[in-house]
Amino acid sequence: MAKKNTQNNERHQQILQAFQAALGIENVKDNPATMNAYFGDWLPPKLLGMSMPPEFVVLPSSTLEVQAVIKICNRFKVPFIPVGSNQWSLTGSPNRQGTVIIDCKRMGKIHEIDEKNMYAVIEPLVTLAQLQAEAYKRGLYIGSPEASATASAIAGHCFQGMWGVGYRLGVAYRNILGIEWVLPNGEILRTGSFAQDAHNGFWGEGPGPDLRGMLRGYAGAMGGFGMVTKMAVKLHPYPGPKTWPVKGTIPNQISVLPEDRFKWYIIKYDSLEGAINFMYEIGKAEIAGVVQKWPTVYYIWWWANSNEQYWTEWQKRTFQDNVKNAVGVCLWGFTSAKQLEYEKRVLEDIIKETGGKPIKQEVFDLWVPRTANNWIRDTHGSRMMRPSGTFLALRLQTDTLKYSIDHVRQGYAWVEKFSPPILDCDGPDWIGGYDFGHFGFGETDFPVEKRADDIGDLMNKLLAMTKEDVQNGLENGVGPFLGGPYHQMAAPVFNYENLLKSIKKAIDPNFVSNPPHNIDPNA
Amino acid sequence: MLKELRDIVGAKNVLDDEETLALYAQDQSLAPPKKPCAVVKPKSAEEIQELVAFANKTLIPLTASSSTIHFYGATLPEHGGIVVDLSRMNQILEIDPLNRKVKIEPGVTWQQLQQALKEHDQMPLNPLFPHPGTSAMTSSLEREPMLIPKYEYGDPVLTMQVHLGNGQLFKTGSASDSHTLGAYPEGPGIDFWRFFLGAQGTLGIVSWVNLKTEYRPKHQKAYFVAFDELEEAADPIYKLQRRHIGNECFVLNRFLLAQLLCKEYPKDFTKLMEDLPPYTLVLVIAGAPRRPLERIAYEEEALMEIAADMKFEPAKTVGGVAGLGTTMLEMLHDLPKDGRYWKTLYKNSTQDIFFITTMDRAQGFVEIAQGYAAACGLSLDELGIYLQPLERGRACHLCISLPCDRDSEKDRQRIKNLHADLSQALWNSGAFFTRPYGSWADMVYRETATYTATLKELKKIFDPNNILNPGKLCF
Amino acid sequence: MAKEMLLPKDPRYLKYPLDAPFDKEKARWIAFNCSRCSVCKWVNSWQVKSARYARICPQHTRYLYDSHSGQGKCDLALAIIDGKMKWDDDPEIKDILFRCTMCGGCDAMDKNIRDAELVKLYRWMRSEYIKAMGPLPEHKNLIDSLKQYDNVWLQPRSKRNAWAQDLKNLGIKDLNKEKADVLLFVGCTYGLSQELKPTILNIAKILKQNKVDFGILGDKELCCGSPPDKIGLLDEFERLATANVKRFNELGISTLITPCAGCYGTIRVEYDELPVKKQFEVLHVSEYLDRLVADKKINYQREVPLTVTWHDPCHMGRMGRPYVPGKDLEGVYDEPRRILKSIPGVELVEMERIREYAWCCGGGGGAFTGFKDFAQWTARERLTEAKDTGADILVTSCPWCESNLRAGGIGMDEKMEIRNLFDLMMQAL
Repeated sequence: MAKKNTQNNERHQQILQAFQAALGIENVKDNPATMNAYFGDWLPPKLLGMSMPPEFVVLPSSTLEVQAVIKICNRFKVPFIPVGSNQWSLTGSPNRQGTVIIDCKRMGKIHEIDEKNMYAVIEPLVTLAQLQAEAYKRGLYIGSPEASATASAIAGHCFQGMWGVGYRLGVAYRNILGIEWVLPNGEILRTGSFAQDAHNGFWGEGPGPDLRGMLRGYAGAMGGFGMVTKMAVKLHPYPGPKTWPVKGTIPNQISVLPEDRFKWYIIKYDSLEGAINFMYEIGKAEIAGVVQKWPTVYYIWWWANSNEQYWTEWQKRTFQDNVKNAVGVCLWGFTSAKQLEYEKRVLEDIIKETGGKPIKQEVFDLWVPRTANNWIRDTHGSRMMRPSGTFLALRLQTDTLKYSIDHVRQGYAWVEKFSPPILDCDGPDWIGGYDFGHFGFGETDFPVEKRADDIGDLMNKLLAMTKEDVQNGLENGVGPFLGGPYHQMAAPVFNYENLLKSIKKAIDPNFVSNPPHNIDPNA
Repeated sequence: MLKELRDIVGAKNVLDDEETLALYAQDQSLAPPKKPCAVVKPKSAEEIQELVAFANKTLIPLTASSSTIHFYGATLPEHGGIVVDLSRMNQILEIDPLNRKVKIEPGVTWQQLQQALKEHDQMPLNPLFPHPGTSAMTSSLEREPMLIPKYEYGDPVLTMQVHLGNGQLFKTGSASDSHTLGAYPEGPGIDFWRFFLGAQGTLGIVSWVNLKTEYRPKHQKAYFVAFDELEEAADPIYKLQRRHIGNECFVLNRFLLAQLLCKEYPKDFTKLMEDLPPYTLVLVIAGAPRRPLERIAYEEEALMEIAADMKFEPAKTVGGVAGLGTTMLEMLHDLPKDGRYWKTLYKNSTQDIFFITTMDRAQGFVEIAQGYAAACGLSLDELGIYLQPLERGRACHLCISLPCDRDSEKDRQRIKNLHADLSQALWNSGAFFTRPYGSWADMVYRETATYTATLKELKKIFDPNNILNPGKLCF
Repeated sequence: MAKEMLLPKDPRYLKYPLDAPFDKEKARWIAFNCSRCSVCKWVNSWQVKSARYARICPQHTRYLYDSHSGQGKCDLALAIIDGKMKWDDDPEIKDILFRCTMCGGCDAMDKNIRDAELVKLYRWMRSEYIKAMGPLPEHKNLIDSLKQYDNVWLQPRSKRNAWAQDLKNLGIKDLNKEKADVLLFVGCTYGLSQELKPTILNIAKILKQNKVDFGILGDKELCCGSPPDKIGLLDEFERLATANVKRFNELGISTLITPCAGCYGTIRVEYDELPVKKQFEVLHVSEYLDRLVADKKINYQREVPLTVTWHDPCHMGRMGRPYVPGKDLEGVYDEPRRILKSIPGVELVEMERIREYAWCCGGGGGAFTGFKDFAQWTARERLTEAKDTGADILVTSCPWCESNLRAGGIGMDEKMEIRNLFDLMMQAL
């Protein structure tokens, strides 16, 4: 096998020995069977043959060991990819030879949970589910992204993170406090209060200009700016129970939160405008914990427990006929049970004024206990893969709620244009309300069958459309915030190309941090 | 030079007379004077762009200034050069009640903003009784703490237009896409907006900013809780914030509250100092747009339940001050347009030391301050203490105010030394100075090596010729 | 006219091919549709109660690299099937495949996300591996024992009935000669282990005391086939299983009960693959006795004042029922718990990882015999979890669980006593 040649190669041996000296022999691997487990993913790269196995997988156990690894990568000019839980391996699949995967499997500590001051200090392997469990015990809460609470909490903070309860408690980018971070050049950067005291991460800003600005952007640096090895994250007040209430057995679990503090509504409208207007009114009224307009396909993605159930129910149109332009609202009684009662009255006023109607009770009863609380605890996001093996997400954007309307309609048009191979999804427009309605987020997600021919062809067409959009001066608007290919494409248009390339060059002079992310400074 | 400047902003907007230059050479801080060679007052983003181009060409530095009063030395031109006074750019460009945001130019003051938003039942998220001349934009960019900790955000900044030192005109967040309304801070690409917060204009000059606004309550009730020690306030505040109770929430010590409430100095002040408790927690319970009284009712009930449990007493006043609730609400929601700054009633200036910490540590820092103050001959009654809970009480902004007679060389020296020594002592004890003004910059940046080095890399990118406010922070 | 719905072309997305034979095609289908979601490594997030006990996969928790996980094994399967790798490309392939207890933790968590059968995939991979590379040296004794003695413990067949000699006076029926309604299938381990003999004696006594019409096959009993099934010797499994079903059908029993979770899961579920079908119900002894408890037929005589925690053996739990996509992952979870609660004085406290999301004891999948270090590491993790409940003892009802947990506990600072459910019952009876 080709790998044997690589392994015998002198340079490979030098690198191997350097890693082993830094981490211990058992924490470095280069054998084919291990490498084979590190280049699969959900997205097209593996399917389309665009990814390849790494050359090494290393397991550091501390910031200093990560630093040692990154310094070795710089010395030998080998690309590295830091991975957290590596869920879905969004950009964790190597795209060039000789890549080192820095796997954080030995970095799973929760260093500290400060209950009074509501934050936790975590390492990269800690999942949101783990942190949630510990937070609940203390009357605190942290959100879960649509992707799943099985994801690394740190990685989840570096990318998107439009948690359901972000409507009330803020989304991921707002949730980051102090960071300890190994830059691509091997320097250890501590931000926020960690800059003053490496054991005290309670505050995230500064000192002075805030270098957290380098960490993300809507879609994060995609591993292109080094590896975060420790992060302090905010926890939030939570009126819920100390353990997550679950009844039943996989896959038919249900969850019902205490009725004196939580209440779900799903209210539908005749038009998307009507639904958005409802979301605005809720935000203005300063009520609710979750406010989401899910696409029809989400209802069944999260709910169906088997492929047969999914497609049978889909063909019966149970959801299509009942949840179009529906908004899911979860009221939370943070202050008291009386707050919940108050918010119910206010919401009911708003429903009446805006002409909303609750969805059919039988659909509500079918869906809510099994699925609604996904948006509080864990969406089991990978269920999105079930119906056809994979899904794609496009046209992510954030601005106002109203702006989302036109934007998702464009997404709609794209989906219509490319169906097939895009499968039946009845309008994939997801719009979330956040920061009490100060901004809205929209996304277009749709099922597509996991077939190389179809997906390859579709990806090419969609990328071509995106390029066209950009060249047309954004007449249709396009999410300028995604990483991956979009930085190369969008940076010149949104006027940040030289800035990002300069930053990248400054902190990653050897271009070793998950190239070509987040931007290729030489392109 | 002057001719070129006149060509850019117009002759009457270029000032180089000695009196003007002397005015801009110093501010309310005790920093030594730094005289500019000219002061220019642009009116538009285009003019700012031209000024930046000029500065890059001539390597004459620019120091931006938006407020008409300054407290921390941030606008004193360390290396001389030109002060760019943005106060002529004082338009409220857009009020968007639907999305609850407002777009403002640098010269807009909090009072101006508050009045304009009132018509739309909105309010800005201003800091504690800002000076009438304070720029709302600068205040927000410099992360002055909001009074209301209940929101999920700690600063109201959304998007902005920045004139980078490298000559590039840049818009942050969703404003980078002209089809949007600029409501989302992140991007494009990375979170550039964060770099310009706390930057004291060293990376770019901001010509407009979108800020969040919130509903201006029509029904409110102010409660006051007396404490003998600051630490006694910590647990109640933790509890109240955990339960999402109240809008404005902050603690002032007697000295500051007396100055705030004083109508006639020194008569009222003396009486207030006698009557007021050492510390007062101010908590405003506000109605929402819908069913406002019902919201007040349940929050009040929760407040009283917590108070009974923790044995503190929310009252309608403290120190027997009549009509305190009404007064406080008026002061909060109708900022004065002019007049004397409340914090300079006792002496003609205040030298503040402020930092971020957690509420359970605040008492310790206050005791350090008291120790240093006493050693310096300052009476404990002359120390101002302001604690502002942040983001539901997860942390707090703690401000120690040192009154100073600027006209007395002796007092200036005494307070300057105290300010420096106490700041160092506080930093050494873990007080986190997130806004390193003046001499704090050296104190902070010499101990944050990689942070400092990385900032310097950014500076090279955003302002390669170091023409923007050089000498500030670590630049 | 209504637009035609755009459905997947591949019918397997419309309905999982449950009844299709498990061949290369089916294996590839499961491997191909792994999206690297990593739920195979973690307890289902809704059930995570602490950061400490959030992992579900012993192999991945111990060996850390993703190759040692459900996802890693899917990647390996895909590479092998698509010809990108061969079985002999890397000696670590053996460890990836066999340092796995086949506990089904990954399988169960994965079933919350998609329709798939991970454990069956591993079984197929093991059998393919053995075809290409031969059986593992680590399993030589087990294989030789089956060939020579039809049991896994290198014990002569005659020894299989030795335990029953102590109960001659009870008059337990020999179903080789007599008829009974119920066959007590003892299993290799309860049948041959001196250490576990008291347990099988107690079980027999309890059944006798409650006048259950049961019998045993004694030294004519063959291994159920679970060990060869788990280690990939599918021919050997088929030999034993087919012989067993035919024999059991001949007995005319209505019910087969067994105290061994491994035997239970195998006979209850795996035997469904055989062309010859069972003509009897299969129950774990706890299921059977639970019925007696419910009918108030069990008369306890004394209190057992103990706080106990229950360990769910994998093969009577999540692996104890045939898979039906979309249906609950049923298993024998509640019956032993009801029995425990019925014993006077016993207080049951639960570990965090229980039921279909239980942590494995470490003793399955050939690990107990072939990879003791890993098996005992896994056991120690479980014992630590049990200790954290504050319980006095850990109770279970599978001989592999008991043996491996006891072995794992040797040398631990804090000891945790392991007791069998039926021994505890007997203590009260």
